[in-house]
Amino acid sequence: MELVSPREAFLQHLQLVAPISPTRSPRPIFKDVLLEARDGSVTLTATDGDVTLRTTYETGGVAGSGRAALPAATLLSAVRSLSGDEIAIHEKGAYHELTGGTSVFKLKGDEPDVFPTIEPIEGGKRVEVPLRAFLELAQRTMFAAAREMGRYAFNGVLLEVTPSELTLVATDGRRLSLASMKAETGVSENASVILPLKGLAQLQRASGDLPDDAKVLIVVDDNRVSMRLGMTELFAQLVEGEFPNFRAVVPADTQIPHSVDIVRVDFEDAIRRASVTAGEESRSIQLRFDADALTISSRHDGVGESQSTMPIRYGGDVVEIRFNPDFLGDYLKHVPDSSLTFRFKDRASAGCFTTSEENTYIVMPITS
Amino acid sequence: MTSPARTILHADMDAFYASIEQRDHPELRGKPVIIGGMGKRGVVSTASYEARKFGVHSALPASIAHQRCPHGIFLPTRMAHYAAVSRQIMDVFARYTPLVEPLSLDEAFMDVTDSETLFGSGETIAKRIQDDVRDVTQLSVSIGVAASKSVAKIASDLRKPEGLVVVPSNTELMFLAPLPLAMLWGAGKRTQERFAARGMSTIGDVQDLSIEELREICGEGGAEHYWHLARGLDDRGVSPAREARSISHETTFRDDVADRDALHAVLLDLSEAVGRRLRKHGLKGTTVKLKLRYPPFQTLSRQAKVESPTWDDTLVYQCARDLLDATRTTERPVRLLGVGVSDLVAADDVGQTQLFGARDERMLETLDAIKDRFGEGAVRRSSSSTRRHDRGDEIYDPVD
Repeated sequence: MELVSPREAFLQHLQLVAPISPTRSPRPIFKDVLLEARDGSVTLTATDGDVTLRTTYETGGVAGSGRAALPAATLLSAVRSLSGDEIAIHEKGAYHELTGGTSVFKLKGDEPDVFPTIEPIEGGKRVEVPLRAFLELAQRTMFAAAREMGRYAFNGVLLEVTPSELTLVATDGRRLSLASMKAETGVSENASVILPLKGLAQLQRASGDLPDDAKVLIVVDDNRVSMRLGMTELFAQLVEGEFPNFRAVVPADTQIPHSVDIVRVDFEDAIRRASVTAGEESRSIQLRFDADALTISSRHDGVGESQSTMPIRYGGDVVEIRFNPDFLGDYLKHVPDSSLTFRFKDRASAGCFTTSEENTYIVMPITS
Repeated sequence: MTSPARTILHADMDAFYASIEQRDHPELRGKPVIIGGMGKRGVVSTASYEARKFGVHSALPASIAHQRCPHGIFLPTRMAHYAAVSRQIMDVFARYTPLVEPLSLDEAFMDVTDSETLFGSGETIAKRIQDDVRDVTQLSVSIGVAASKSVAKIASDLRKPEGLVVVPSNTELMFLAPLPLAMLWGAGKRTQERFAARGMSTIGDVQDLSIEELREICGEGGAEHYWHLARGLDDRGVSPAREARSISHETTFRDDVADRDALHAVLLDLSEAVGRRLRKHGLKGTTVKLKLRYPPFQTLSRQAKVESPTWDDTLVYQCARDLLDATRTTERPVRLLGVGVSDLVAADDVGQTQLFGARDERMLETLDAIKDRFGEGAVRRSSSSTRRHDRGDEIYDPVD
C-alpha cells in the first residue's frame, strides 16, 4: 500500500481502533489493524473476533491506495513516537516502511486478504436514537451484567425496543438494572436482542469526541449487531441464549411496601464505610430501618466493625436486610442521580432502588 | 493386597431427612412422612419407613406418592438444617478415629484399625457409634464393618434400619457371591447393563469370570477393577476429607475423540456428575477446572473462576465448554476429559439469594432424587443424549 496522511488524524483514528486488537490471540491476524486507502480516505479496522471496530476519515491531504495489515500495538507505538506533521506508509517487499519527519520504521505485516471480511448487515431491524441518551442507559445498566464466563445471556445487555420506548436491562442473577427512555424509535413492532458487553464498552469509548446531538444507528439481524456513530462503525455478534424474564422479578409496590427516600451522598459515604469492615469473602453489610433512622453497619471477625446512622422518614416496623456492599457500591458508582428511593419488605425479599429517571435497580439480599 | 488388614466402617443414616423431621415434630412419629414432593410436579426426596410400606420411595413423582399414600404428611426439604445435624453426626464419628471420610450429609467411611486397641473391635466401635448417634441426635444409623471400603458400604445397606453387619476378613467371597449385581458398588450403569446382557445377576457371577472374560465385557481398565471389586479386594484408603478441596469427574475414551460436539456432550455428562456430587455434599465452588489429555500422556488443565460459589451443572458445563473451546482440540484428538470444581464452601454459608435461581435449584434437587433412585441414565438433557460416544466407565474420583 501507499499512504500519506496527516500524522495527527491517522494517530487519532488508530488510537480508536487499535485497543480492540488482542495482544494474544490464537489467530495472529487479529493482532493486526487493517488499513485501506482509497479515493482520499483511509479506513482502519481492528477486530478481536467478537467485536470489530471500523473507522474512516478523509480530512484533507490523504493520498494513496491499497491495503495493508500491520501489527496494531507496534504500529500505534511507532506512529506515536514519530515526529513531523505527516506520516507515510510504503510497501517495500515483505515490509512496510513507515516514515515521519526524518525517521523510518520497517514493519512486518501480514497478507491483508487474511484479515476477516466484515460484511455490512443487509436488511435487519434498524433503530436510530440520540447517542448520549443511549450511552447513559448503557452506563446505568452494564455494570450489573455478569463478568464471569459461561453465563451467556447474563454476559450481555438486553436491548428492548418498542415504537415509543427503548430499554436496556442487565443482570447477573443477583442484581438487575433496568433503564429506559422515551424515543421515536421508528420500529413498528417490539423487538429485543442481547448486546455483548464488550461491544457496548467499545461504543462508549468510540463516542468520546462526538457532538452532543450525535445519533447512533443500531442495525441487527439474526446474529449480528452494528452500531454506527458518524464515520465509525462497530460490529459484534449478538449474545446467544434467552434473557431471563426480567419483568417477573421486578417487584410490584405491593410486594415491597416500605419506601424511603435516601440522600445519596450520605448513603454513599455510609456504604463506603461499611465496606471497610465487610471482610474479603462473602462480604455483607446490614441496613437497619428503624423509626426515622437508617443504620448501615458491618462486622467481620478478625477485621472489626463499623456503623453509620442517617436520618430518614420511616414509620414502619424495624427491618434488617443484608446486602453485598459491592452491589450497592456498583450502583452508586454508575448512577449519578442525587436522590434515590429505596423500597423493601423484609430480610429475604428484594430491595429496589429507583431514581427520578426511568431507572430501577433490584438487589437480592444475603440471608444467612 | 499386601497391606495388613484394615477395619473399615461405613455408616449410613436411616431415612435421614424424614427421621430428622419426625424427631423435631413428635406428632409425626410413627406416621408416613414424605420429604419433598410438595408441588404437583415435584418428586419425593426421602420417605420415612412408615411411608415406604405404601410404596413411597425417593424420586417417586409427587402425584403418585399422593395416590399411594393419600394420608402421607408431605414436608419441604430444609437442607441447611439437615447439614447442621450432619455436622453433629460427623463429630460423633470423629470421636473414634481421625480417619473419617464423609460421602454426603448422611454417610461416611471410617478407618478404625488403629482405634481397636483403645475402643475394642470394629463391631464394638460400630455399636458404640450407633449408641452415641442416638444419644446426640435421637436418630438411627446403619453400619457395615469390613476390611475394605466397598464391602463395608455394601454391608451397611443390608439390614436397614439400625442394622449392623460385620464381614470378617477373608469371608468376602462368600458374603458377596449371593448378592445382586446392583449392589456392586462402583459399577456404573453401563457396566451393569453389559453384565445383565450376559445373563449375569449376582456378584458371584462376576467372581466366576476370568480376567480375560471380564476384559471382553468391560475393557482393559475395567476388567481388573471389577475382578478385584467382586472379591471385595479394594485397597483404597479412607481419606479424612472434612474440607474437600475439589470434586471432579473424568473419563477416558476407548478411542481418541476429536469431534467437538461429542466432546461437548461428554463435558455435559461430567458436569452433571460434578454438580450432583457438589449438591450431595452440600458444597459450592468458585473455580471450574478442565482436564484434557492428548495421547499418549500429554495432560493439560485449564481453569476459570465463577463470581459466586455454584453447584449448577449448567454453569459448570458452560465454563468447561468455554475452556475446551479455547484450546486447539479440533486439531488434536483427545484421550481423556475431566471436569472439576474447587474452592469449595459449604452451600449453606452462601447466603446470597438469587433473582431467578430458586426454581432452578428446586429442579436440580428433583433431578438428583430421580437419578439417586433410577441411575444416571434416568434423566438426560436432550443435548447430552444426542451424541453418545463409546467410552470407558466414568471413574469415581473420591473427594480429594
